[in-house]
Amino acid sequence: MTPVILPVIVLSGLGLVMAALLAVARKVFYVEVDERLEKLVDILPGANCGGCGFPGCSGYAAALVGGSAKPTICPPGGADLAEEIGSILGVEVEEVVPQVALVACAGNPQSAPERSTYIGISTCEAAHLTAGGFKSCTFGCLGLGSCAVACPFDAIVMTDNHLAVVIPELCNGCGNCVAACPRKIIKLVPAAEPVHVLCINPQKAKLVKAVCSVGCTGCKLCAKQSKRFAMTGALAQVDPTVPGEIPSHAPYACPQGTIFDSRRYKVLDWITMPACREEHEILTAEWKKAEKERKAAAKAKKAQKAKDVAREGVR
Amino acid sequence: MKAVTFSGGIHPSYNKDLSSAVTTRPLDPPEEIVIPLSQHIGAPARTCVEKGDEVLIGQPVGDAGGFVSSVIHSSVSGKVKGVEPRAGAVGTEVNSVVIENDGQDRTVDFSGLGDDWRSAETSELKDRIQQAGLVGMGGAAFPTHVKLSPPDDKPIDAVILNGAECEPYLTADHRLMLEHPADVITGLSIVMKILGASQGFVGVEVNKPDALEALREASADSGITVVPLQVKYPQGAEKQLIDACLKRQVPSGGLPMDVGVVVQNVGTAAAITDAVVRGRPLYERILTVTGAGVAEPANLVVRMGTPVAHAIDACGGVRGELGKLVLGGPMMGFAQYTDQVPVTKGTSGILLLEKSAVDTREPDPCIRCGRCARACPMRIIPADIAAFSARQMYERAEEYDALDCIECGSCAFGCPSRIGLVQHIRLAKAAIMAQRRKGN
Repeated sequence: MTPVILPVIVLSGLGLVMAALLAVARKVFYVEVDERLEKLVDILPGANCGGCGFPGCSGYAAALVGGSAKPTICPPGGADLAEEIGSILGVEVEEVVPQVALVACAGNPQSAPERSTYIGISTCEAAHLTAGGFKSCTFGCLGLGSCAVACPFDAIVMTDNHLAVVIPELCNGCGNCVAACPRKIIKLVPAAEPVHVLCINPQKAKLVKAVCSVGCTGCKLCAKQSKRFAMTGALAQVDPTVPGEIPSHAPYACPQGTIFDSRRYKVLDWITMPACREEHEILTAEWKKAEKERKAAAKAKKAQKAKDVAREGVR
Repeated sequence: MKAVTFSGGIHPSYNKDLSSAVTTRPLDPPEEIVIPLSQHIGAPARTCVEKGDEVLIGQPVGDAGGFVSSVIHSSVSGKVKGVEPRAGAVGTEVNSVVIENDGQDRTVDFSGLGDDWRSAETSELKDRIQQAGLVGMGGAAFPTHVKLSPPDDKPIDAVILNGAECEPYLTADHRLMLEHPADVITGLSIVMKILGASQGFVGVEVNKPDALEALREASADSGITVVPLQVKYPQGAEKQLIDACLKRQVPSGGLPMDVGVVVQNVGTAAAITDAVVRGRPLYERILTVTGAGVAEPANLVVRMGTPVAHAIDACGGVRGELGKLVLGGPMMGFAQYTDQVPVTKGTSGILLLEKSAVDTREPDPCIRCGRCARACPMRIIPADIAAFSARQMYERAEEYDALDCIECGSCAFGCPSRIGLVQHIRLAKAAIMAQRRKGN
């Protein structure tokens, strides 16, 4: 007999004994697992973004089974996932409006210049805490990228002109960037909404114009074009609660060029490519001219009508 | 008496001889004065004048917005041009009363108690101090009447005046102690009377021997002790000053009143004398305009609301290429983005640093040398707290007593890797306080 036989026998025997022990232990110490929980963990996105407010996807799954969470609050999953969760749990699911994050600032170094040189920790929180930041507008995007760091989906691009831009196609609306922005510039908006006011500066026109050439001055000209624009003080905002579509000429009414329309431009192009703004200005001038002519024509028509009526009277 | 001190601290170059020998002179106010309604810690004052109103020197333009707040007075006579947001000393815009100076310097009637303050009621003295809009003049601008109203279960037995002026460059307190020592001592006596304190101290660093001598003469037979302090930064921080003068340690998270002490700046004491004895509210103060970036460093008596540009012009203007404009001292002052910010009650100096003095290099990694821990007067470990802060581990930072940090900058001053330790710790403090507010 070769000396190798004995160890083989011993180890195999040991293995068998251990296997038997494990088989027994599996029966004796069996833990009852809700099979719904396993199914839920399987269908959740697994990004662990925290958008639901629970510690990761498995935390959310446990909360769902425990009945303490709604099936509709997983931002990356959206309506489809909510429905699947509903069918697993056997509950009715309300409608989900998919949301995406929006950085409501377009003030690049040319339009909202830096007022001081900042030497210090390169995060937005630190810069904001240091005398209100280095940017002339104390409401504007500092561009140091705290939101991009917080984004679990790499959906935020830091542009060369020191602004943060959310790519809507990549954004799942988890809201981590909203919490990360010390200036509260980022907000969640309905993904289907095409038009946005890219400014949060609530100050009056004089103060806004002093610090930024593309900020909202509260002139209310946009509100004349569509009821969807609501004024909060001296700041225009698109009101998601008002139904209806914003007409495509609404952005041309804004003298500051603060209103962005994604039906015409991609948001990244709008922020980074000066050509977009140049084209926008040309279109604005054309629209204004047409508007003037339309008004003049309407006035002339009215005057003509009045004249006709007067003539009728004479006859 | 042997000079006393605390443990820790640093020895920066003081550069006080630029202005320490220059006698204070009043600065004529400019044509337009901008008086911020928030010059102090606490609620902003409520404006009590309107556009077009005529105001006199010493007339209130803002009423206290609460108990922890302060009355604000006009510093010129003239017409109110408006109440609007203007650039403030901390970077954000502050609601301010803009007054057009008529140049006639008409004042309201100042009626003080004269020498009768010794027999006056404590409540009246306190009321006069409150109505005069007094705040701590060392820089933090905490309302003085609040400090003079400790709760009943915290008896005060000692009052310390801070004449250390440990910030480099600044000489305003030095000149004040030298030129008005009697006002400082009278102010201290008034504070001691209000608080019923039996001991009074004035702590002065030994690099101001003339001020020490002047105060000793003025305080003869008054029972007040003038304490010589070793020259070390931050000797004037209140907890360090208490340690040096009385060998008492303020507990972590506590206030000086927890060890029976109230600390006031010498400038505040002199202003208390002005308010109580002469009936004059706080509408002007002594400050130092200094640094290599200004032509003729000087100590000026400046009306509140004067733009710093006006004070700089009065000192011969900017010399060379300006690197940084700082309100306060180089260690704890605030860098400014515009020279249009107004002088406020807490402005102890205007410091102009030349371009070469500003270090723009990026920080290097921590080499764990421990210099910051040795320098820290609060005996915390700045490097560890900063490391936690940089990783958003704010709970660990709190365990390491981040909230004890007084932001004196001693740690960052000596850091060979030029790490912005104070900024990291401030971030952690802000996050911890935000978390606490959320928890409540």
